[in-house]
Amino acid sequence: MQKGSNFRRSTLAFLVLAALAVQGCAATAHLKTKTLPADPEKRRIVVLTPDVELSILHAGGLQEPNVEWTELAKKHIAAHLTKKFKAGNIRMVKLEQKETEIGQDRRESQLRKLHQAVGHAVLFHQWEGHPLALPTKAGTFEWTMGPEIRYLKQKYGADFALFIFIRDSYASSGRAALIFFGALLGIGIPGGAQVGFASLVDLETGDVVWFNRLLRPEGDLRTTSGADETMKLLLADMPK
Amino acid sequence: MIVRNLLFVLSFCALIAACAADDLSAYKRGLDGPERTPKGEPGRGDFPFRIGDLAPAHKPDPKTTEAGIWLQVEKLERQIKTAGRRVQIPELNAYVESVSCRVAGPYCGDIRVYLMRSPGFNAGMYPNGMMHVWSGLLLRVSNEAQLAAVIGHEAGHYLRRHTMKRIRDILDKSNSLVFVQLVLAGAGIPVAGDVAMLMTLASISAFSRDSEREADGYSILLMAQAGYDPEEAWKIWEAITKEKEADKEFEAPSFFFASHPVSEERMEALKKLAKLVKKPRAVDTGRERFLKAIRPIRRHLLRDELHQRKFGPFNVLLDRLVEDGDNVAELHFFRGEMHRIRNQEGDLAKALEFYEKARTSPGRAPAEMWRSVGLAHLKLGHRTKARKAFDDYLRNNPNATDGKMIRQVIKGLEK
Repeated sequence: MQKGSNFRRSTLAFLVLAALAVQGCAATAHLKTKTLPADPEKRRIVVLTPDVELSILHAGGLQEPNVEWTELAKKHIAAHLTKKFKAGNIRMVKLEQKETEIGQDRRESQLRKLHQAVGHAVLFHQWEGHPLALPTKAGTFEWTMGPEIRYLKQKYGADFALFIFIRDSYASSGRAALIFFGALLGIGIPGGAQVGFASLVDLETGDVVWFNRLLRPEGDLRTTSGADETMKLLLADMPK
Repeated sequence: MIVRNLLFVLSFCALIAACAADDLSAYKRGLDGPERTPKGEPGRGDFPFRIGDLAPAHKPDPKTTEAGIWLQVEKLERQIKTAGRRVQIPELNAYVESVSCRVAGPYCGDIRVYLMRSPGFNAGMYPNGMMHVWSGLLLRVSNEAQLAAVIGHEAGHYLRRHTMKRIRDILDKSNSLVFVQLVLAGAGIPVAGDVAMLMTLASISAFSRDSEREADGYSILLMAQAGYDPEEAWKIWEAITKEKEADKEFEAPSFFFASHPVSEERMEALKKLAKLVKKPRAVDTGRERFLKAIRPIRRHLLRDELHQRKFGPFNVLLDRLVEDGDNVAELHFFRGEMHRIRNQEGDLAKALEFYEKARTSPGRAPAEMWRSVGLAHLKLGHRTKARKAFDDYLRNNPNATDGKMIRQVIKGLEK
């Protein structure tokens, strides 16, 4: 029986849900800067394959990933980003979508893993009120991936990298029934939820310059309008 | 809270069919899925298995649960590709792949073996064809046919979609369980909720015990098809059982959670199946090929085992390897290392005895042995002998990365 990733993943899900139960709040981003450089040649962003999964929340609480919904959500997210960056005069050098490309480049693959670790650390330890919040992080926002990140700057010719991580779940009919019966008995049972984060990394210094999280029991990435609403919330005060 | 605990255990077990049998009717019981019987099937009419319900190059329909599970596992596989604990030695990887291809036949392209650096005996199959083989397993199979038996077992999990069925089963059971819990909680009987959870877990374990039996059947079938001697499969378990018995910390798994049939049962069933299956014309154990592939890394594997500090089982493992007879000098060295590291009454003297034995035995002990000899003497207060051994170490190992440190130690001994 193997442990490792699956185990960590489930732990992760619990921590996120725990935070959701405690707060149930929406976006309050952390940032080091409100604006990107004015020079149009320094406003280049690479979006590193949004890590998105949409799933059905079963009655028993297990989540079953749904491929069709996930593909749909990815399309909507890509469309939203293209529109947003065009309007904001930000050059999107690459919006990578083929997940099979990842892993071909070992160095990039390690940097992505590093961001996974950093991103989740920010998510758990930065926000006050989270069960794992660190007192040393209160009032500061200092996270970095280190200068090794310049590799991505050279590879993609970009100044910033945007990382997006979203897990979005929808109650099955069984779960809905459970919630209904639970309510009759006075027991509150959570339904589907959106959890995730977006993180903007300066590819020169490796510093995380802006970070926002998504943590709410609503939202729908399966429709164009729903995805636009979610992405607006997630990217609300991203440096312009 | 009950739901949380259950989820914790379930998500922990869900994604992987781990590896590890009694009468043959139990084997048949698992065969409820739709069967495809390709032409030229070498299994005889009375052999309870045929090749699985997946066509080669199978990809799930995006509308299905299976596709969702693949989505997650493929993501995991991309991470595993660059994982630090993955063993990446081109010749060794190519060798393991060649065995896997020979066993899997037309499914060669569907099964991808990842050798993971981890002591102990284990292998696992993910539903999308990603197979993990622990490096420690290579110390516990003594020829290529036995390695093929393990790969065949895991391939059986894939071909029969065991993990998928198990996830389906877990989903269904947890979905009904939660309603039971709700009703019980509403009636004010929280304790009974725990009982319900245990029953669910027990039935999931039973489900996977059946899968293990079925996978063992596939192992024998695939071995025979690939021209390996199916009689090699049960021998693995003989050795594993001995090792387990030597582990004082080892406790029999509780009845509820035993997912694998007891080794003795399993051995008997594998023996029966090996008799039943149609034998290949020329049987092959591939011992030389296997030894050639393993030899260059065996001492690293042994080092990883030793670092677990499970001295009893380590000794049993060494016994078997000595009996096998390949590079005995290296094995005596590790026996010495075991004593030196355990460092109880009389161990250091014993360590020195084994180092001496290693020096005079056929094969070749690693050059670091001189350092170990020096360290053992140092602990025993034999300064002159320690000094001589460290000198030998530096002479035999001029590029030793710890050369500077050893020279420092020698300086201390000169005072």
